[in-house]
Amino acid sequence: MNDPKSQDTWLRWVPVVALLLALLAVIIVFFNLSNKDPLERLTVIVGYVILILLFFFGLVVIFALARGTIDLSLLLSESGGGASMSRFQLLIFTFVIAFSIFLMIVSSKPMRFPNVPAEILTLLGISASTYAVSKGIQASNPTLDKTANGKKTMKVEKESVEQTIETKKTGDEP
Amino acid sequence: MSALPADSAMALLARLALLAGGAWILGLTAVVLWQIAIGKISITGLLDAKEADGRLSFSPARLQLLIFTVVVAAQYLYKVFSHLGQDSLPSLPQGVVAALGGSQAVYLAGKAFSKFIQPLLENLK
Repeated sequence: MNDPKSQDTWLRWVPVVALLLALLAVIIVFFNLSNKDPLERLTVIVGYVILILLFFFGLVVIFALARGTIDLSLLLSESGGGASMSRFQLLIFTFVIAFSIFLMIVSSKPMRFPNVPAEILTLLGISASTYAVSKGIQASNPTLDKTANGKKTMKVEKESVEQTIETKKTGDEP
Repeated sequence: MSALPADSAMALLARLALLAGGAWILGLTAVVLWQIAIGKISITGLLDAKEADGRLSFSPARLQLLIFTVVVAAQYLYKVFSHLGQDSLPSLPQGVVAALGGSQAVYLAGKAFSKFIQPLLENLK
C-alpha cells in the first residue's frame, strides 16, 4: 500500500464501482416501485444515483487529501511564510458550524435543515473578511523578500532601480 | 421482493444522504487534524509576527485572537449540544460577535502596523 502507483490503480476503480452501484440502485428501485407513478420512480432513482455518485466522488477527494495528491501543506500558510492566524480561525469556525448543522439535522424530528441565525452568518463574515483583509495587507507588504510564487518584491525592485540610476549617473560623468 | 413504498424509499435515501454527509465531514476533519498533528500542514509561526527587518517575534495580538477563537468555538459547541432537537442553530450574544470583531480589528491593526508603519519608522531612523 505504500507504493503510490498501486494506490493510483486502486483509486482508478472507484468511479467504475460507483457507476455499477448506481446501476444496481436503479434496477432495485425500478422493480420495487413498479406499481408507482413513473415520475415518482424517476425522482427516487435520480436521488439514489446522485447520492451514490456524490459519495464516491467525496471518497476520492478524501483519499486524495489523505495521500497528498491534493496538497494541503499550505492550507494555513501565509504568502510570506509562517502560519496564518486568520486562516486558522476560519478553518476552526467552518468545522464548528459544519458539525453544528450536522448535529442539528440528526437530532431534529422530522429531519430538516436548521435555521441559521444572523449572528452566526456575521461571525463567519467577520472571520472571512479578516482573512481577506489580512491577505490584502500581506500582498501589499513592501518588506517581503519573496512572494509565494517566488517573484521579487518592491524592496528588491527599488534597490535595483536605484542601482541602475547610480550606474547611469556614473556613466554620464566624464 | 416485496414492493417498497415510495415514501420509505425517500426516507431511506434521506438517512443514507445524512450518513454519507456525516462521514464526509468527519473524514475531512480527521484528514486535516491528522496532517496538522504530523506537521504536514505547518502551524509553525502561528503566534509569531514578522518584524520590519524580517525577524519573527512573538505576537500578543495573535495570542489573544487564538484564545478568543478557541473560547468562542468551545462555547458554541456546548450551546449546540444543549440545543439539540430544536429547529434553529443557537445564536451568539451580540456582545460576543462585537468582541470577536474587536479582536479581529486588533489583530489586523497589529499586522498593518508591522507591515506598513514599522518600515516607515525604520526608514526615518
